[in-house]
Amino acid sequence: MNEKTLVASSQPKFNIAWRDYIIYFVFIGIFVFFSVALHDKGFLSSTNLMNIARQTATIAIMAVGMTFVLSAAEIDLSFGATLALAAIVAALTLQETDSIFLAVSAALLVGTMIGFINGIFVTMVGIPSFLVTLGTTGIITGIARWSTSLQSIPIDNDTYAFIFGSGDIGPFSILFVWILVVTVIGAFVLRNTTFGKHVLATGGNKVSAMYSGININRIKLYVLMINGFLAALAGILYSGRLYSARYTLGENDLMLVIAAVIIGGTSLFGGKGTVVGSVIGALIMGMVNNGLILMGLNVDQQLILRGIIVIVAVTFTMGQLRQLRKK
Amino acid sequence: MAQHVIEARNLQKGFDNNPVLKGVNFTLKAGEVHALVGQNGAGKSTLVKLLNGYHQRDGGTVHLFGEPCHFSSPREAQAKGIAMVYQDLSLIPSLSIADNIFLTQNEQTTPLISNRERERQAAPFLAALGVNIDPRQKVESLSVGEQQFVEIAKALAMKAKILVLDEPTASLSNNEINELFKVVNKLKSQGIAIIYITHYLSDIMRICDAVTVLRDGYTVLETATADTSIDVLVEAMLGQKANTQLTWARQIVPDNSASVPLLELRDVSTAMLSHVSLKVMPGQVIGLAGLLGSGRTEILEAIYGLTPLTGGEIFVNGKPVSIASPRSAIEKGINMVPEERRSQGLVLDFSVSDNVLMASFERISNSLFLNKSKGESIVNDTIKKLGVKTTGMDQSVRFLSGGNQQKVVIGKCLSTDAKVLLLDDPTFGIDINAKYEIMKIVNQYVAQGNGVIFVSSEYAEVGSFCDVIYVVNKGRIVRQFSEQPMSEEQLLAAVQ
Repeated sequence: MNEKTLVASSQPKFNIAWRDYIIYFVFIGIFVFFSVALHDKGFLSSTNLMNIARQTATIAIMAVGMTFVLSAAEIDLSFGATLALAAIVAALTLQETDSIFLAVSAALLVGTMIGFINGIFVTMVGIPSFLVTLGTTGIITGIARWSTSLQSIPIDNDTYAFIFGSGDIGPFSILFVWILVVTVIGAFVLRNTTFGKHVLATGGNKVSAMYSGININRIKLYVLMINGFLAALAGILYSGRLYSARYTLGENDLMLVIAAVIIGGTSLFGGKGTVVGSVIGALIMGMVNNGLILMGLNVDQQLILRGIIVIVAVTFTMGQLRQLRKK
Repeated sequence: MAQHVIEARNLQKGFDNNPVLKGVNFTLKAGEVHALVGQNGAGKSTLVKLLNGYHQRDGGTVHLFGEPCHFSSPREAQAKGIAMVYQDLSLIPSLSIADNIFLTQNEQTTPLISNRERERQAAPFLAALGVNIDPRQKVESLSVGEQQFVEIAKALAMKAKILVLDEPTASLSNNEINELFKVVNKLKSQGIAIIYITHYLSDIMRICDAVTVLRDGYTVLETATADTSIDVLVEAMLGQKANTQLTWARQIVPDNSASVPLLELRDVSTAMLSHVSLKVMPGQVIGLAGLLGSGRTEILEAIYGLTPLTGGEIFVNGKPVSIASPRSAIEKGINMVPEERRSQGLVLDFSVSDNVLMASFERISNSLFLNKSKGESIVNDTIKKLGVKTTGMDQSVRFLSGGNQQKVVIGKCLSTDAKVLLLDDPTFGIDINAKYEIMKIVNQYVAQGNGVIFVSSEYAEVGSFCDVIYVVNKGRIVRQFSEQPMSEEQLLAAVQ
């Protein structure tokens, strides 16, 4: 009898654990694959690994923001455009004032304000976030193109560039530090604070959340503002790494970020989210990008393969979920 | 002797090494209405899901019309004439009745569909039920009762010979129940066998020919309805001598007319209510009795800040307050157990622990971060005090039985230190034991000087459990009783 109950209770636990950690196996699997397949091309060299981290940083930071948004069962399509505009604002402010503080504050303020505007339309007017952010994407991109006449804005402040992307601390890129800081804070907020729990409850079942005294509109507003803020931070990091800002920044990141978050184990339908998983997901995306380039594939081929890999990876992680649901 | 439609012997089925059915026998004769009863978790739904091919049995035999059978999917079972009418209806609201009736039809030979032809073909199925609905209507415009008829018509269109009705009366008004029973009798006269799952034992006596009682995965009683009684059924379900009257003795509370009411409504009006006044004194259970749609839920919603007041005032502890949202209600010591525990009370994919704490995360956080151990001790307390049956606080509530889910919702409300609980049909759809335990919890709660407003669709419960009963009709309070207990009959007469 005792044995039986033991088996019965350990069985589902095993399933759940496997689903939660599958992302790490995927990560290791892809890493091992590239290490072997691309050994000659220097995949494992420290320069290349740092390159991956560098290229992944912005994706990872946006993935953290998107984890909050999806956990609350909302979506934000405008973050790529927000990123570009914030980078441009930072670069222009830097040009005018040469004040790093002003440039960064202005960029972060713009990002947060865009999130606020998105949030107001979602909560006060009641338009689905998908449509609101689809609309604001157009507006923001238009402003970014117009205000710069499609030109790239150069940055010649070396301190700014060092702090926000180009610098190294010992053997580590400073972007590594940024990933770490944002991940730790993000993971902590989602898991260990009232706000994080309220985000998940809102996404899990907004009616129950409301009956439990959670102000679901405020939660939706906040997650969109957080996402705007982090998109702006990603924009600043882009501009620091590239010594310039341009309206095209981030325009290809939409699929990468959402794929990273979903592969990481966050539900597209809310209620379940993991910041660490999303960052690992982003690293997977970065690794795949890097591997495909090292393989010598051209951009067209990369696009196709990347699309296939995203779908396969998501199928794998979401398939687990469906199996559990059916029980 | 008539041939048996279904003859199942010694059925066994387990999930994750956890046996649910251990030895179930079930015999369905042609043209009979056969009730399937048992407490939650006794194995009713599992049995039905085995019969209709949703699950596959681990052991035992099933004969359908005398032939051994094994279905690997509900579709195969459908082809043999077994159709389910689900508890939560499986119709598509935005489609017409005709479209819904033929939704799963396999006999379509051309890729084109003539809507007019469909509507013409749908009519006889609706007529066979003796209901008068236009097949062109959209399903979303129908009442719950009518939707159920469409669901049955859909089964008939699939040439069903065996119908499974899962809690068909649960969300119906009295009139609709009478209509449904007429339809059931009509189906019976057409030779269709019906498996009827319900918690309402009196319905069984009224409409069923035979009963099978399940308990803990075994068949404990198979009998003709004529040879049994409610007492016998309840005893078989519970496995012990039990109080069959669903009533709940309470200690009489001392006269407290002198103290200040915990909650008072004066002339409260909303879009749905007009001039509602009531008082909740410490230690009192206030009952709201009324038919479905009478406004009883709306009163709770007005108190809980879900609908804006258009007139009148709410007093908490004698002070006028304005409650604009559930959040402000909770801050003022009022909490609500909503009618739909799955869609309004819980986040199904959350753990027991997160659900219990959902309304009190602020209270267990030290300025910035959550105090895990404080949260755990609240959850442990709740599980112990309310007797929640769970494998642990990390189990997802999706896997708990209805009664235990309800206890989690109540636990969530109690952990906010509410002084007044609004209970909207808290015992709906849960078994007698769980009901009894929930009433006991409420009893203890009011004994500590708290107050409860209690809404239930079972008048016997309201009648015997409440100190003061307000009768609600069309958004007004029409009568008030303070003598207790009231009998079910008295109350039923009063709410009409």
